[in-house]
Amino acid sequence: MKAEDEQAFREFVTSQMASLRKLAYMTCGDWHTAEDAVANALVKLYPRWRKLDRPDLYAKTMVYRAAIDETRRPWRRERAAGEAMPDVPQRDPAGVTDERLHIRAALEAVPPRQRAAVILRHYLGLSVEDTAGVLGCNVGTAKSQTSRGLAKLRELLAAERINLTGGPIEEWTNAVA
Amino acid sequence: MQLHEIVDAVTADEPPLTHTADDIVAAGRRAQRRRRAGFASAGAAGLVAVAVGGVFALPSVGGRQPATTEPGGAGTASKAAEAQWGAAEPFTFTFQGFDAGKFHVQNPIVVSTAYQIASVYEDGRTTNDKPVSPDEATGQGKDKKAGGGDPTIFAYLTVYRPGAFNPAGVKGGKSLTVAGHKAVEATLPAGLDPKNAIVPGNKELAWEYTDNAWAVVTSISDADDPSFEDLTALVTGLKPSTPQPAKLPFTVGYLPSGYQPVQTGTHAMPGLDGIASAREGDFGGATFARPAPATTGLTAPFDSGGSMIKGSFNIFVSPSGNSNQKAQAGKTKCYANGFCNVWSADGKVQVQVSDEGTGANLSKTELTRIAQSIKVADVTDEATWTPAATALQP
Repeated sequence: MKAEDEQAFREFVTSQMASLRKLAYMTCGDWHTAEDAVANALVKLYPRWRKLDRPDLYAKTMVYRAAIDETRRPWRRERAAGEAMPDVPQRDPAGVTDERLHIRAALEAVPPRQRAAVILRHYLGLSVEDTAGVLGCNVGTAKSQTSRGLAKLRELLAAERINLTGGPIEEWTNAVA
Repeated sequence: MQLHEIVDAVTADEPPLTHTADDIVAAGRRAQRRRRAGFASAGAAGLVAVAVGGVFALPSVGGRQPATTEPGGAGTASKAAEAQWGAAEPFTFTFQGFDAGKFHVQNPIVVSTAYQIASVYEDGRTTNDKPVSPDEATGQGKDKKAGGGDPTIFAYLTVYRPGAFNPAGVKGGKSLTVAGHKAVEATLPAGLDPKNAIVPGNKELAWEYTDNAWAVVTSISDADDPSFEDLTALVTGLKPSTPQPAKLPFTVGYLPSGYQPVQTGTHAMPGLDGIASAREGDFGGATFARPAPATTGLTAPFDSGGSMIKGSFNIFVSPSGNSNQKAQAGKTKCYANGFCNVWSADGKVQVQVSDEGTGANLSKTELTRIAQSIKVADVTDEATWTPAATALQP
């Protein structure tokens, strides 16, 4: 790889690694696995850097696919210590951690593909076409996965008295429902 | 609460990244070297190439003797073995995998107009011929953190057709006799590139397995071993088998004028890339060149040291999931770097035709025409595959 290409790749990695790991974590629920997925995807990206029109989409796709493989075991709950989610939510007096655990539990209950669709579309800001590309499905399926994921998440959070709001969410829910 | 707040809450305990951009770049370089005739330095991969030997009797003491030493009784065994090696036609496998002590030679999967190549594995060593895990690629695996983990080796056996290999051309080669066979051993440069410095872990042992026909075991290791003595175990393990034409899961319907088939990969990409990725699950491939490279006077496979065959193009038939490009079922797409893809109707199989980096400079029209002329067999059923000599001639 030419020096200027490698520098561009290095800058891409620096700017994207954290958000890619967040995508992987939101898909699989484990920080260690998420980092592995990101490192693997970026290493594979290196020799293909010059061939890709949209390396950001390629990286997201590879990260998503690597992370989704881990979702055969929902959220890898067996790895509770440190990096992973606790098996049993513990109440805390301040209520902050308690709310976070409820949110995690709600996300856990959303199927991984729907969860990834929501994150790609409404957290990372991808277009519906790009979201479909990352998920490896057509646009219609990407829309339905996003819509169902949002609806499920909204329902679960509502049960915990947490109101999921936001323009794009309403827009999607209404548009696809 | 908005979605970004939901995500922020769930990821509030995000640990610091354990990989840096420099780690990723370094791992990318290593992965690229491994893939492009890998075998590069960097201590990542070891490569052992074994030569064919056909000798059935081990010498009583040791396997290596100075070149001035007459083979004595071993010569009888050598002649007996030589009698079993028949004519080796291009694109034909003439030996099968075998075990030799701690080495395990696989069935040959790459064959050319001048040689056959098989992977060589070693007990207790990791062989980098399959997709590496992030831990392996970045060198930050748990085993390595704990100071453990297997050392790596990349090794292959190249069995040349009679007259193809030139032992006198081995740079820094030392002549000797191994189990009654003329042999040459040499330490190789990093990346097998003559411009690089010699690396102690990179070795080759060549021997004459039958009249004017040589086999070579090449070993790239991240340690000093295996030793040359270790490698001699392969000399006595190699035996001829019933010749089997290499079969391919495709046929070619169109070739630009003057291009000749050069080498193939069966269940692999053609050439040393196929050996470097032997267990990736590729279906097959072929390389064509104009002019075809010489088939005599060789000291290494055509694409050794990461070089491309000049004036060539490659055909790769692989699972779409192994590709760098996203599958587009039933479609044909060409890319600026000099390659075109055709995907099967179900999107599961990809045919790629590429002349990237070879200087062939085929037009997009020609690449497309070649790609679209390729007919893919049932990739899961070898009974539907075609012998290379037929498959590669329109």
